[in-house]
Amino acid sequence: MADYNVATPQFINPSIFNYTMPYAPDLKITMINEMDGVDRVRTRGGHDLVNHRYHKNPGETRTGRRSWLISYSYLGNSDFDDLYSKVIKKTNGGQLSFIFKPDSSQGAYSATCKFDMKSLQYKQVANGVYSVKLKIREVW
Amino acid sequence: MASVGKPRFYVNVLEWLHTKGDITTYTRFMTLPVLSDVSVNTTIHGVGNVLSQGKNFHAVLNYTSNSAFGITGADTTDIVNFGGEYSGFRIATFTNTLYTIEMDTAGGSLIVGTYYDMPNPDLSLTMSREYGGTKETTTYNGSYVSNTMWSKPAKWGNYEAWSLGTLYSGGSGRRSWNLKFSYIDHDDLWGTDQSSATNDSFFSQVWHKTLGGTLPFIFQPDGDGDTPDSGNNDPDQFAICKFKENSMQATQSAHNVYDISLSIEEVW
Repeated sequence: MADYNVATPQFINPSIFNYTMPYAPDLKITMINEMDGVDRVRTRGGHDLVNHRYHKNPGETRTGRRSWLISYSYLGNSDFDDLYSKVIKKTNGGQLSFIFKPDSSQGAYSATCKFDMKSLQYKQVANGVYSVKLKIREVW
Repeated sequence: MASVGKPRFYVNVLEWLHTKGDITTYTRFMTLPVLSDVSVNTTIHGVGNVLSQGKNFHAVLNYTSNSAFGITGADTTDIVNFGGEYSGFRIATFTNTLYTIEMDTAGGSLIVGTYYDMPNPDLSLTMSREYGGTKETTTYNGSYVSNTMWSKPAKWGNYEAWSLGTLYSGGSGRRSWNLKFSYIDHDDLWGTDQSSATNDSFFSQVWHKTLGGTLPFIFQPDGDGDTPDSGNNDPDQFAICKFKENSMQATQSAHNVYDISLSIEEVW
């Protein structure tokens, strides 16, 4: 089934937090499969040389490293507080890893991730309403 | 460059299995480099179930006309260079499921793998030929000098890359394509199992088996799709390519529906 598809994202760190976003994020979510363990060089003669340092999570057979860019345009005050206090704060601002399920209803599909943002930026778009962007990146 | 129809990706399965350490094989079975030596090779490789989808191919680069071409148990249908009449290269498809590959084929690069047909891309596509291997200098007295490091793919033995006897003498420049596909279903793009090599999806058949586009594949911008002879199978329609970026980005435009852009560049 859909292990990239984002519906209601769920963040889990067993025995510390288990938080499911109350509703789906905006459309225009970006999913990335990244081959960051591959170095490429183009020689003077135009040949391409490639060095594969790693190409997948050693515990899996799937190629590449997954990331998700998701945004919420109109997150209510209480929902934003929950996201902050239950997830952001308890991961030390994204330093600690967590289990990310892009769609909480698809229980089997998850990835060990960290937030890949230098800071959590949120904009107030109305009284008690915020927009927030999250970048979530698979780690191992 | 001719127009883009249903793009087809030919992925070298032996190179993929070798690179991830599942089998050990020889340089001759890699897509690049294309060797000058064209001796026959009959090595047997076990490939598990990766050739069980009915969309398989066999290609020989640096092919000598009327030389050995074939795989035990595969009923091949040529899509270019019918009957091996010309020297240069030869590509054929077959539907047989094979669990071991035993080739009786001669050539500089002996490729066996699977192909995947994309849907038609959006019309806002870009095709280009780059000649970036030339450095140009104006001297003190105003003379104009240039030094060309490369202007076309390296030769395959005695033949220009993708040349076909007297039919086509090979092209110049480095070709690239920027393609955008809109409204692709989740299962067609990501598939139902991304660790599977047999799932009928772009991720499993192309991204996964080229290790994220870092292994070379043969790209045909206007392939046959599901209708034989409906594409453009002229010799100038094939290129050894990689994806330009090291990442594949898809934007979810609706629930389980995605848009994706691909930058494909010729390599040698």
